[in-house]
Amino acid sequence: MLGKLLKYDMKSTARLLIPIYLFVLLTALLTRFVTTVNFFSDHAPVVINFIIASFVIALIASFFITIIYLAYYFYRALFTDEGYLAFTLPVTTTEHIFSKLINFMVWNLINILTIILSVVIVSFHHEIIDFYNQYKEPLFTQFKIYTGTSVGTFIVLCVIAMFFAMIMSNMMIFAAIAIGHSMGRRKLLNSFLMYIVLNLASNMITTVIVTIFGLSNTTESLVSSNMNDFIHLSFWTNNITSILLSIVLFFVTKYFMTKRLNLD
Amino acid sequence: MNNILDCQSLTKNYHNLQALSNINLTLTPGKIIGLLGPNGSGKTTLIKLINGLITPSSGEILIEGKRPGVETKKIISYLPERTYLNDWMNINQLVDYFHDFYQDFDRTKAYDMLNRLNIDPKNKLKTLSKGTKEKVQLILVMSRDAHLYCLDEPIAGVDPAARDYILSTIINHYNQDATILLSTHLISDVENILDEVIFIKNGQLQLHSSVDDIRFQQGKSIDALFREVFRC
Repeated sequence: MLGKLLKYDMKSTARLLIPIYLFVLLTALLTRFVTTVNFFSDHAPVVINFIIASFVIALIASFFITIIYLAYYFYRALFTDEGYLAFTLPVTTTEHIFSKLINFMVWNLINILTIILSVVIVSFHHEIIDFYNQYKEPLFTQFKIYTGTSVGTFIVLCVIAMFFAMIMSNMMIFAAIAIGHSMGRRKLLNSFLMYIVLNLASNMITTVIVTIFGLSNTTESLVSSNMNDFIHLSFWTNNITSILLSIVLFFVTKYFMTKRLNLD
Repeated sequence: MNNILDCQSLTKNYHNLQALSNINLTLTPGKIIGLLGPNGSGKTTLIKLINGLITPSSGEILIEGKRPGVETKKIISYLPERTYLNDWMNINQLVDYFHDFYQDFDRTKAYDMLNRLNIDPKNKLKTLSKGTKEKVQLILVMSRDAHLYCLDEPIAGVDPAARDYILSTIINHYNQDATILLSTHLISDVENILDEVIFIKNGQLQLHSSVDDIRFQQGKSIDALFREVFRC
């Protein structure tokens, strides 16, 4: 059932998001074109400015639209008239939440890849490859000396941390909407307020946990081996905090979608 | 044979309102039952409780002996009083959707009914008139081979000719072993198809009786009795 829910969620959200990402790639290609072909710089520089501005706006807009639209989709699919259909399907609340979460994460990932791809389209130049090949060795070596961690490991740690942080941030949106919806009137306002409250609470909890773990390290100076430990400790403390908070937010969301569900 | 519905001291409170109060009700399968009462009497609350859309404040509600959940949703076909289908889908896609989630959904039956009403399945739902949307919803709901059909005000927003069509669709397309719970305040339109009636007033059960008992023992039509019981 989860697969079926996800199929329909993705079909529904693709209708808005795919055209937006295609538009971003289109403006990237246009930007590349007008900045490469001499005609424009010689005869119509205004066009270049306009196209570049469109590209930048499209990039920023795609990021915000993705998040806002998927938050709105969670609300619309489950807490408006469509909720009467959703909650009478022979599907558990857990499956509903997971389907919306996976849908959110997949589109976030596609959004990020689109942004990366479009930046590459716009700015790629063989000189970059030459520069990379020339300076790669000393750069990576220096990085390892100062941090005790290789660049590759660091990138992997960042990606993992981003992944868990993304799950937590999506679950926070869901929890805020589920709680705000249960509060009778002014559901939208309540959802925003709940989001701010949850954000503050999770920041405080994360800071406390990370400080507790971090304090145990401050007596030693940060030489490379300690730096390596520190980096790993920070990342994993943050990851575990994200995971734990995500689990708490999941159960909070589920509670408000079962015991406190109140469709108009 | 399990009762299709069992309510024991069922109560539902909202913030400052008691929507349902101490409902004790048992329904046996195979009947068409009218859930009758004025607006705000608790009919929709009871139907939402049956469908697991809200949870009781106290008391118990059981469908074929089970609490509302995934298993009961497999055997209940629900028609709410609003359009609850995805607006952007066309009718073919909606048929696929129901077929995907409900094992008891019969596509042939659905297309047959759509055909008889000259509704083109390639139409998107949002292009249809309100009355046609309601007919599409009804067709999808009645194309399931459910144990319990919960129809919340199925004829309220449509013209009299469409009402007749909807009522005859309901009669002709349900399994005789199944139960239909039909909530409405348009009594005289539905009276002739009902086996039993339930009267609800201010969240309390006023009456649960077979239609024949009321007609023969009280000598009244259901409509007349309703007006008497719910006099303003």
